[in-house]
Amino acid sequence: MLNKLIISSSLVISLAGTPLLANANDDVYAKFPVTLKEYKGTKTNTVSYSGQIARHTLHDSLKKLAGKGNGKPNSELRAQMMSYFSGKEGGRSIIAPASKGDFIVKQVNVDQISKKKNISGKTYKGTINGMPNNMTGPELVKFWIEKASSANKGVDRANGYNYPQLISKFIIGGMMYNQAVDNYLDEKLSADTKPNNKPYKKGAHYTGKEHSWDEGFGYFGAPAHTLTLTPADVYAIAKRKKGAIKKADYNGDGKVDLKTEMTFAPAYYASGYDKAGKGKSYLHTITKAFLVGRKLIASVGGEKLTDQQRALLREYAAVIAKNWEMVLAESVHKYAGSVYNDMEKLKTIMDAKGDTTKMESKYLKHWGELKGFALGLQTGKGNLGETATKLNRMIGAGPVLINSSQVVDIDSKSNYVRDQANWGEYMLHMAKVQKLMVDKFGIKVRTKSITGDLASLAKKLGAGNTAEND
Amino acid sequence: MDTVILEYFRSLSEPFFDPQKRVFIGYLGCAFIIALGVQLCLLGLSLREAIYAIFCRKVWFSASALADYKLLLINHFLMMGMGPRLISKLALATLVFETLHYWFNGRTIIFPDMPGWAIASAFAVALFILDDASKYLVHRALHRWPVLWAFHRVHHSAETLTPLTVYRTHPAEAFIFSLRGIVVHAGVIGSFIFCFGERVELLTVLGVNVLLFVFNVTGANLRHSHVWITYGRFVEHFLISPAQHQIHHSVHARDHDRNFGVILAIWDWMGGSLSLAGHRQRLRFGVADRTAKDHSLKNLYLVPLTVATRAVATPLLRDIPKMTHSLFLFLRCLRSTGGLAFMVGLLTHSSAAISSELNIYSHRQPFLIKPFVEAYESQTGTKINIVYASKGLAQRLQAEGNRSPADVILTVDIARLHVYADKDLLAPILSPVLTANIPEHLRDPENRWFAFSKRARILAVSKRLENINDIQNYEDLANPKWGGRVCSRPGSHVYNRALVASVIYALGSSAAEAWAKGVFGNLARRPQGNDRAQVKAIFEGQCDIAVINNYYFGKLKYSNKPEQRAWAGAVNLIFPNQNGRGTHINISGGGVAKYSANKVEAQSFLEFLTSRKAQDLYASVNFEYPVNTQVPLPNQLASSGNFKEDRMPIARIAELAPEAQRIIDRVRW
Repeated sequence: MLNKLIISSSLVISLAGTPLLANANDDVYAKFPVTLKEYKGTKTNTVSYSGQIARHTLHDSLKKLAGKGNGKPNSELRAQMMSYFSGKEGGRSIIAPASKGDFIVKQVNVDQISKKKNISGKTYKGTINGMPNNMTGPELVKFWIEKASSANKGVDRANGYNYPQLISKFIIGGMMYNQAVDNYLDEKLSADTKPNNKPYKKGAHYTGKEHSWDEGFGYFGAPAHTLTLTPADVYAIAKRKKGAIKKADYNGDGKVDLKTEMTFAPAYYASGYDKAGKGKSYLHTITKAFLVGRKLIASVGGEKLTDQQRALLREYAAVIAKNWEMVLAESVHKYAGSVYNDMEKLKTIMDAKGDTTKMESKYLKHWGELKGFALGLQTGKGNLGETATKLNRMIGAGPVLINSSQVVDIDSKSNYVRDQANWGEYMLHMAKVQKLMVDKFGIKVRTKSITGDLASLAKKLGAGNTAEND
Repeated sequence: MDTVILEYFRSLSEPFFDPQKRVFIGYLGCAFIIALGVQLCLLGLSLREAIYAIFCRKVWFSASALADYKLLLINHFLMMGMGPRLISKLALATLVFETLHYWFNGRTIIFPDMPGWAIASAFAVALFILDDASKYLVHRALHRWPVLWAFHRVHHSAETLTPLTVYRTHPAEAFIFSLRGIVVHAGVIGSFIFCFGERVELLTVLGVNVLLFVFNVTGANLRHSHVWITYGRFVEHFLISPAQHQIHHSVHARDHDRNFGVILAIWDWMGGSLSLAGHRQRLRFGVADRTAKDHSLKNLYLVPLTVATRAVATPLLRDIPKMTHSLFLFLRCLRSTGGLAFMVGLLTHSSAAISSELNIYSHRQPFLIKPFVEAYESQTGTKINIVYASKGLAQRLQAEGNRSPADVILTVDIARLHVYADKDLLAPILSPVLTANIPEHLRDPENRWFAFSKRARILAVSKRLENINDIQNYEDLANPKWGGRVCSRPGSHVYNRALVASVIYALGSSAAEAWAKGVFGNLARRPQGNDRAQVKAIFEGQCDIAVINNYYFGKLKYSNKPEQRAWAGAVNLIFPNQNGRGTHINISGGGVAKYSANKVEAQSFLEFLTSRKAQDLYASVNFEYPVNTQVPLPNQLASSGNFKEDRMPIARIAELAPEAQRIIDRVRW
């Protein structure tokens, strides 16, 4: 049923996309006029998602800070991280994304984008079953911040944790994805929640539905002019590559406005899989669905949406949610492959009694990315049930370390508890995690597939059902 | 329906355009050219005569050939349905790939500098050789086993041979061929991808394994023809010529069961079934017991089934009177002893006597606690349900909170028991029975958990070791004289971490770290495997000393597997530190779940576990020592004798575990 819905929505989007591209301005998620009938002010543009962009910068900055520890308890660093995670105070500078070479970023302070914003208030409040002790999303991030503040450059080699990656990747799911698909594109699409014939809040010049939809788009983190760019362009903007400013600077002021011209995490990963050129178009599908949905809302001229219009909007939302979920599942697939490859290289080095330090760092980084994405994937609006249980069991609470141990628990004093683990079995778990992503989410790009070569060779050798006799 | 018909004809024509199939038009063309060459050059026929000989009407339109065509048409229809139901090659290759991970504890990069062409060549050769060898074996079995010959006879009943005779096959045989191909291909693919990863390529021509391509273009289709081509005595020891295969089809008794090979003749040569072609022969094809109806559909499809069934059923039928007689004797015996009534009564009693239920969450494997459960159930009538998991039960209990159905927690090792207490998942129990039966140092000071059995961490020392007196204490393990002679599982395993904690308790942190560093420095190999694997390593001569839990030795010594008994026979046991603090012990134990709705019954079960009956079971089931000092040492442990145990409060081990872990990490054990 869901697939049918998605197919029908995709059709609608592709049809709607044709006239959309006829006019350059039509491709851009910007400048939708005021439709609110009771509005008497002077504002003319209702598009607004600066709160979400502020949170993107808080997230990027927190990730940077998480890698600043020197291996000793550091209360100052901890407090700084907490201010980016749960504080609302003014004066927080944007540590990332910052200017780099010719890539000049317009804003240097979070307040220049939006004031009094934090991450914790918007992080998934449910229990995170993939880690011990039934912590909620904010509790888990707080726990990691505590650990990161005393880790060396954010990495705890003894227990196998790379905190910047864990924190960042989890927030990509637990805040950005969760808020978009479980809040703005779900609850806030109900008839009586944030209706379209009333302001989002008292005094606002945009309607409830207009702003809810914008906030969902804001969390996706794509430049407003994404549909005028290729996935490679959008990817280059996130990387702040040389020359990428030409693609980012849509208004031509020589600077990148983080509010509208920057690529943030979810859109960055979507563009990454699209640019692999395997026929998927997560970035443009999601962006287009947002844009078409926004046009639909604007087209009703400040009237309350009919049930039919809301149903159509929900179809667009389903396209966004499904594709976004697939982007996260692609990431789990990709990093499970990276972890497997790293383990293969580590075992080769260990067998040769070589120095594993460098390879181990890569391994822990990739594992942190895998775990963070895997936990984030579970924070969507649907309960993944058995899929989540399998995922959590196979990935475990920590990576299998080179001394064949693995974190299996956290005690009441926040000490990690480890036990013996099996290297070969864990490598296999990575292959099974990939299979789970393919089977349950239908992902197509399948970066770093562990058994992909098996499939291609098996195919080359033919089906085998033959009646030839000798 | 139209779609099915169209699909049928499309797929029927497919083999003629698929270079992976023998009857690909390109290969048929090659065969024709070779056959023509032979007729013109070797036999001196005119072109017209040669073409007439190759496409002889008596061959291509004989009753036998017509039967070939019918089989082709019908089998193809049947295979269309069977194909998807066969086990997938990819699934089996994945299974091989996964199994190899278990065997080799992961995967390493093999021959990183090996050039791609060498890997591709090795892959093509391995595939070719195993494919051909397995075809030989299957073919031989088809001839030698009566049940399989019943099906293969269909192929051999052909009296004229054409390239399409390759499809004269009973569906059951086709199934065997398919399975063979899948198993061989999957095995080779899974193994090569495991060894070489993405570097494996298939050397192909037109998408076909290059060696198979060569075989097909050099006249493979002439195997089933009347064109006599030999390779000469020498070559025919290595390659099967078309003439050799025609001999295989000969009706003559001297040719029976000869030349099973497809491409290589070496299998027949090794297996004593090789027959060289020699001079041109006029062969008659078919089977010795031919009948006039051999080419009827009934004979081609149904008769093989009845013959095969008879081949399987005859020995079984012979045994039926014997089995019936045994059953009759058994029933008469039951009747005379009133056993039937007894069994009925027992069943009735068990269901009637169940008065309450107890739910156990267990880290201990079901077979280890089943005897206790059965003993308790029969004593009290309480029904016991067990949830078993090696990992994650504490998290599950925590997540369930006050909705948890768990009454009793059973686990091994103080570290794991401590997890439950630490997470506040156990209820304190005030039981005079438990207090009396369990020594103070083996129970929680706050009465949340209790030990039910003890396991000693002892030394297994090779019988080859001469100076055994030099290794009497744990401290001796760090002596540099044992450099490269000690085996151990990883330090982070709870058993070793507990041992390090006990050393910290006895000697202090610094001394413990120096000791752990010394032990790690003496290791003969990277820490790996379980305690059994350490004893095996001693048996194999990889090391001479290992630290193991005592019950592993008992399990090996009394194992059903002879090789495991041999491992146990290779070592002597030493209970360390008998002249000092005693041997380090750990426990198996349990407690009552905090939110148990049945705490009285749960407590009663725990008390039962410390009773004489249950304490004896710990020894007989798992070679563990009783905690109840009133219970004498069971016979199973008597040979090891009593030993002096380290009586440090077991709870301290859990408290010192984080420090022990830090030491283990620092010394990289």
